[in-house]
Amino acid sequence: MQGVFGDPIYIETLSEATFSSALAEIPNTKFESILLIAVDQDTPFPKELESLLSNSEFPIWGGVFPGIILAAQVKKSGALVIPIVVKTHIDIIENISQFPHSGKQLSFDNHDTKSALILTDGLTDSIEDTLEIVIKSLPSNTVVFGGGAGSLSFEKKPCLFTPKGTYQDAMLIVTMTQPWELVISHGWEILDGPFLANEVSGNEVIQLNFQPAIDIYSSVVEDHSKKSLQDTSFFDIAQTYPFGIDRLDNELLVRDPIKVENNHLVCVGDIPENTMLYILKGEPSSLIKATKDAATSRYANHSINNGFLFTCISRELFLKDRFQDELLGIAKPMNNNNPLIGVLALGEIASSVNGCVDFHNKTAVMAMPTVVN
Amino acid sequence: MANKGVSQTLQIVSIQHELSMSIGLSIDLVPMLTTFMKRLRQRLSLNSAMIAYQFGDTLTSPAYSALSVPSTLVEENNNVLSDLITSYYQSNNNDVCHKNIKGLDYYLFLIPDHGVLVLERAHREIDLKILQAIRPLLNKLAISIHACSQHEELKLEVENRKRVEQKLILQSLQDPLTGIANRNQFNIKLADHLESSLASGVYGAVYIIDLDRFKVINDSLGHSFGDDLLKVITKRLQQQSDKFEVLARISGDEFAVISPQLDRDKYKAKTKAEAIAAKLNSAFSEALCFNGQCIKITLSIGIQLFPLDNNPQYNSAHQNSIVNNADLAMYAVKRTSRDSYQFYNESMHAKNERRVKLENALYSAIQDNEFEVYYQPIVNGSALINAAEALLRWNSKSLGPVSPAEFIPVAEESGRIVDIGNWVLEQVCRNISDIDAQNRPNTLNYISVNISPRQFGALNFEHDFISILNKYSVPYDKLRIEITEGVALENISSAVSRMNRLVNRGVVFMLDDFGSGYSSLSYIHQLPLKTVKIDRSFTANIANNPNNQVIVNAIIDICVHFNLECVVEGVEHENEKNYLMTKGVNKFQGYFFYRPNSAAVLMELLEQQHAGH
Repeated sequence: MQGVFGDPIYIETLSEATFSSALAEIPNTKFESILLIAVDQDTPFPKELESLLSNSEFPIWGGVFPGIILAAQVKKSGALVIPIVVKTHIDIIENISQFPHSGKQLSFDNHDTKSALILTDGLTDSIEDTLEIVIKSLPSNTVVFGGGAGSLSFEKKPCLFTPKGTYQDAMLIVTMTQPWELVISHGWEILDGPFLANEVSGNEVIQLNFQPAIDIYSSVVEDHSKKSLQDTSFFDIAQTYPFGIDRLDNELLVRDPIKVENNHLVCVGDIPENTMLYILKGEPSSLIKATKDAATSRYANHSINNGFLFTCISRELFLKDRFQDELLGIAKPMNNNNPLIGVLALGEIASSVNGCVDFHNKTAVMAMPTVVN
Repeated sequence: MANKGVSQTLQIVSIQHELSMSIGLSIDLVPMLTTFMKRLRQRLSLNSAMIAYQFGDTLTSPAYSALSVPSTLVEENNNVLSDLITSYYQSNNNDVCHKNIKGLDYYLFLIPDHGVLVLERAHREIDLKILQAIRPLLNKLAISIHACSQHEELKLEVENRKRVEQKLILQSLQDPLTGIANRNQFNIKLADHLESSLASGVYGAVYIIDLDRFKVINDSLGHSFGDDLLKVITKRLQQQSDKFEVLARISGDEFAVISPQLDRDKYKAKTKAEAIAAKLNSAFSEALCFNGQCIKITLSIGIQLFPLDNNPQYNSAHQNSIVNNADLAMYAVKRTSRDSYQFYNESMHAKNERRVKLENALYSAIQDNEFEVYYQPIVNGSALINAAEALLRWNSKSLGPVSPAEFIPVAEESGRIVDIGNWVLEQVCRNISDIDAQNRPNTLNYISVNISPRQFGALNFEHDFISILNKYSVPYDKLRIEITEGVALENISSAVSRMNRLVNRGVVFMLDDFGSGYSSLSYIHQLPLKTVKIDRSFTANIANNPNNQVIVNAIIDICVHFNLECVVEGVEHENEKNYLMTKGVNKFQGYFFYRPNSAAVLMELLEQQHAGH
């Protein structure tokens, strides 16, 4: 595997001074830009960060996330400074929740694009519509990956940045001529279904099999968990029972129900109307095994130098202490001196082996630069 | 990831149902197809989806980006895919076409009568059963595309109709030459401003602006030049747009301006309106230069403040009065100074009413025999009559005696002057014939007749003039034409041509009122004149007025230089005659000798003169 990143530098507290020190640590090897990923609660916003961005002599881009991953360890504070040695082209789409989607064509400068790393505000609307427009504008067969930035407190605030400033309600698209390969895995299994999602509205499931969705969902989940949704916090139970949207090739696209509003099940990400939905279940061991097997089998015959993981924050919340095991499993195929880096995201973006780009929930997306012979 | 609990049959049915339900979710073609293709891509895990859509008899470029996700699908596959799509469409084969190109699987479905749906998948082929399940959807898709197309055609038609309607509305409110508001729009805007003025109690002003002597420019330099000039004038007026809100061209060379919300205090509003008018006048202090020519334009501006006093409510009569008053004020400027502005006042209304009465009365004056031609003799140094000037008198049945100074301008403006002028020529010819018949030997060399600018410029003037003289067998040199400097200056080149043609036939021209108008020495030598008449304003007390002496002496010198006969008008005292005789003048006209009188009196005088000899 070819190197894309220089050695990442971890900063415990992000400030202009610590960032400058980190930059000074970077060896004098050539790099094109700096990827800065920071933990939301410790990120100084917005003036301090904007000053840091505008005062840097290198182009800085990145986002803030609920957590960062370094050397297969989760960090819930600080920031990672990652030198990018390949050429990148940075675009930002602002106000995506008001984005005029129909017939809109974006124009990316780089015609030799092979891959696109997309960071989106994970707490805004129209992510998938905007993603559709972005995909339409990228060359066919572009490998797309990324994730949702933002705060786990669900407070909407700036969470993305480019050399031009900080953004919320935006999508950051970094195109590269460097090709990447992806491993997508979640390990969730079918508990019950399929159910016809005969009435939905965007990310809200209203009816399943022509009955109130909450009734169907409660019945299945309560039966399996032996817990009452009335007595327990919805999120506590629901994080174990996501929905799965049926895809070809025995694949399931996971949708995370996070709350109930007006008896509608509100999910992270859209549910297509009239699609077949399953209610999924998960065991920590099966989730960990699934991601480990996926990474190992895909790269059984390769050694991996660089890898960037977009994994859902809800996996970390669900797996708790065992999340460390999952990270170690994913990192196993990597060379020991190239630590796994990544973020805990609010939704993951990835193109499947078949080429379809999806917005995932509760899924791990491992991105690795392809060796160019 | 296992999905073992679901039978393939159920999966096929669910795919068909989901995709089928995603067709026709929008009545607009592109969003409808975009939704359907997004579902296709997601449900079948496709790399991309595209529709090559038929327009007319041919298939669109398969790269038709609005219907392709990603838009570059075909571009990247060069002509291989494009050719495949075209040949598949032409084969009109309902079977699914499957081809692997460069490691990617392509599936082509015929959309009956509308085009081809292309699916691209990487890594793994789509099961044949699923492909067959998609086929029935294509008919539904075709119906939906057809409905959307019809809807779009209808929408286009409605939009086109709206566009035409907008254009018509615009045309009805816009002056096509200058692009500014026309009279319609001006009236609409004035109604709005008048209503808000009545509501707020703040005065505004309407200006009617007429371009001085624009007709001369149009006649001499052509209408095309005139049109270009109007555009340049409009631009210069627009440069003053910070002082007003509405600028309109309301007729050929007439503009109108509205300056609303000037002041609550009428006196202050008037002062502000006056300042704006002065700015408009001074905006034209410099000549307008374009197309290699520089033209000096001046404006006559009439102003009326609004709302009018004692008119507390909006109605069309109120609005019309504002415009009419400003118009009257503009005409008042036109008849006096030009290149100036004036507010409307009550006397203008009275004058206008008198003017309207005169105009109406003039229409029947000839028929009712209300005109009479008087003659004022022109004498030589021995006081012998050897010519006379014909002067028109009007004794109106309805208005009583009306001075020529009052009715001639009205006749000139209304156009009645041509008929009246011809009537005068007939009368004079008849009288010349009578005098010739009775006064033997005839000492009356000629009778001169004043021809107005409008009559002289009339298309048939030469023909009418000669015809009348012929009708009464009057020799062409017996009836002289008196023109003023204004006649010559209206259009010097055409005036000179017309005069030359008449002179060649023996007609004689006299220049009347010389010295009172432009007195441009540059044109006098161009005109084929026989005689110059020095204006009466220089004659009064000339023996004791050194200023008048200087002017008159200069005119006499000019006449000598150009070999012109010189007649002095307005001689009322002997010392005036004596002074002029010392300067070599020997043709006089004035009360000192004779007052104007009827033809009968003239004939009597001639008889007496004949008898005296």
